[in-house]
Amino acid sequence: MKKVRKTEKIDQKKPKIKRKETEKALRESEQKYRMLIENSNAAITYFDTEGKCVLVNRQGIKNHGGKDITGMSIYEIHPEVADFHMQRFAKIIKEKKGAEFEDSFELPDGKHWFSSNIQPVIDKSGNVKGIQIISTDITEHKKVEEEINKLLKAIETAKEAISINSGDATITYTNCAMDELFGYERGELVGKKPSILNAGPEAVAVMKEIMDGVEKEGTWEGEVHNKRKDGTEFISYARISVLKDKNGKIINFLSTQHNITEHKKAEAELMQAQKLASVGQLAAGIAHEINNPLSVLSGEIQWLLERSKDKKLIKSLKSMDRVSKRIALIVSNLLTFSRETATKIAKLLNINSLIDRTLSLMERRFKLTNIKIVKKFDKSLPDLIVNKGRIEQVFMNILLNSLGAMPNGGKLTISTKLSSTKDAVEIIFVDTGSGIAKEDLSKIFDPFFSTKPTGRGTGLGLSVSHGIIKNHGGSIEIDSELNRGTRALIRLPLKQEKR
Amino acid sequence: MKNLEKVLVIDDDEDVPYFISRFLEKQGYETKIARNGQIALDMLGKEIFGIILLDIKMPVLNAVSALDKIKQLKPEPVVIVFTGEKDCDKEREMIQKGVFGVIYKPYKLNHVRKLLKTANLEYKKRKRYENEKENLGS
Repeated sequence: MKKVRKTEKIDQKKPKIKRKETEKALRESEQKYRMLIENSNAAITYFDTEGKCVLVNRQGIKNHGGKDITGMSIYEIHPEVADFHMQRFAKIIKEKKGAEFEDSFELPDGKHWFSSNIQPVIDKSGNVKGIQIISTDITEHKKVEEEINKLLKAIETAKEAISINSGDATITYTNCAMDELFGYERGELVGKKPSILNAGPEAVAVMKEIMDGVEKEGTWEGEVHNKRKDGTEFISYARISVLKDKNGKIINFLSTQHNITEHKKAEAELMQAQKLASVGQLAAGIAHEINNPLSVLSGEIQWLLERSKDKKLIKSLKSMDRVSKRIALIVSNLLTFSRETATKIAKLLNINSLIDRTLSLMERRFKLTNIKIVKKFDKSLPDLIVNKGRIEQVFMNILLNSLGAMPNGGKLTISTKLSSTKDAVEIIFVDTGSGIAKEDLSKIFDPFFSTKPTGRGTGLGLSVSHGIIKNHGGSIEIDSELNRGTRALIRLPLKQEKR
Repeated sequence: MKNLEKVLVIDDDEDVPYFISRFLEKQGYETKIARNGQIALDMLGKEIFGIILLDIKMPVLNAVSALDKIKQLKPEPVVIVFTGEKDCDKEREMIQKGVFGVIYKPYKLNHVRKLLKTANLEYKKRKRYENEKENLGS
C-alpha cells in the first residue's frame, strides 16, 4: 500500500509537474495571443450566436467610448441597428461563411466608418459557436475617397470640356462635356491621339505653339480650331497645363476648353454692324458736304447752258452737266446706304414677279454672256410691303455682280422661299462665278470697296443694297468661295416694325 | 418788274444762298440772305417777305423749329424748303406744317423757276384773301 502510495505519490507528482508545465505554456500562449489581440489596432470582438459579446479587445472598448461591452447584448450595444446586425449574423451562421462589410457607426466623437471582417467560429463538430469580428477604422480613408469622388463628379459634370492627355500624347481621360463638344460617345476618345481633334491648316503650327508654351510657362491658353467626329469644325478657347513628376518630366497634359464659335460669330457681326454704322455716318457727312457745292456747280452749269448760243461751248457744258449728274447719283447712293433715306413709297408686292421684272431688264446680257438662269420660286409666297424701286435696285446690284463674276458664262440660281421661322421671305442668289476672296468678304458692304477694276464700279452697289434691306427690316448675307461662286441671301420680314 | 415778291433765302452754306439769290435776282426777284434761323427771324420782324426759301439742314435753329417759329411770327409768306435727301416722311411733315413746296439738291433750275412763279401767285392769293377778310371784318 505504502509502496503503492509511494508509487502513487511518484505517479501523482510527475503528472503534476507536467500539468504545471503545460498550464504554464498554455498561459504563456494565451497571454501571447491575448497580447496580440489586445494590442491590435483593429477592434476585435467575439459574439456568441445569441448576439452577446463574449470578448472585446482594447481597441474595441475604445471604439465604444471606453465602455467594456463584454457580456452585453448587441441590442444593448447598438440598439438602433441591432436587428440589422443580428440578421447579418444569422446569415453568416446559416451559411457558415464569413464576409467583409463597410459600416458607419455613430461614436461619441462623430460618425466613423469601419471595414469589418466577420467570420463564423466553427467547432470541431462543425457547429457555429460564435461570430468573430475584426474591424478597422477607415474613417480617414473614407473621407479621402469621398473627397476624390466629389472632385471626380465635379469634373465629370463640369460644363467646361476637360481632357487629360498622357505625356506620350494619348487621351487618357475625357469628361462628359468634352465628349459632347466633340460629338463622341462617352469615353470613346480615351486611347485616341489628340491630333484627331485638330482642324484647320494651322493645326500643326498651333500644336507647336502649345508645346512651346507649356514647356516654357507650364501653361498655354488661346483659340484652337477643332474638328468633331462628324467632321464639322468649330473654334474653342482652350487652357492647357501640365502635370510633372518629381524629376520635372511631363506626365500629363490637362486641357479645359469651351466652344466660342457662336461668340466669335456674334462678335464679328457686331463689329461689322459697328463698322457699317460709322462708315455710314462718314458717308452721310461727306454726301451732305458735297451736295451743297455740287448744287451750285450744277446750277451754274444749267444757267450757262440756258444762256449759251455757242455750239462748242454748249457741248462742253453738256458734258459738265452729265458729270455733275453722275456725282449727284453717287451722293444719293451714299445717302441711301447711310440712312433711312428710303422713300417710303411702299406697296404690297409679290417678290417673285419683282425678281422677274428685274431679270427681264437684264435677260439679254445674261444670254450674251452664256449664263444660264435657273429659277426656283415658291409660288405660294405671301406679298410683301416693300419699296418697289429700292428692292429692284438691290436685285439689280446682285444680278450685276453675278454677271461680272461670270464673264465666261455659268449658272445663276435664284430661289425664293419662306424662312424656316415662317416670319420672312428668303431670296437666294447662287452663282458659279469667280467668288470673293476670304479677306475681302468682310469689306464687301463698305462703300467704295470694289473688286472690279478701277473705273468699272463705284463700290456702292452692295453698300446701297445693305442700306435698303436694313431699311426694310431685313438682312443680307453674302457667302463666297474663290473660284467656286457666291451666294447672296436676302431676308425680308413679312411684318415690318414701324420705324 | 412784274410785281415780284421779295424772297428771303435762309441757308447756312457759304455758297448756295448766294448762288440762289443771284439766280433769283436775274429773274427779277429782290432777295435777302439769312445765314441762320435766328437772323431770319430778326429780318422777318423788320421786313415783309412774300417767299421764304429754307434749307432743311441748318444749324443754330433746327430747320423744323425754325419753320414753326417763322409760321408763328409771319404766317403769310410762302415757304419753300430745299433738301439734299429724298425723305418722304420729312416731306410730308413739312407740308403738314404749311410748306408750299420742296426742292431737292442739286436742283434743276427750271424746277426752281417754276416753283418760285407759283409761289409768287400763291402769295398774292393769300394777300387778297387776307384783304377780303379784313374788308369783311371792318
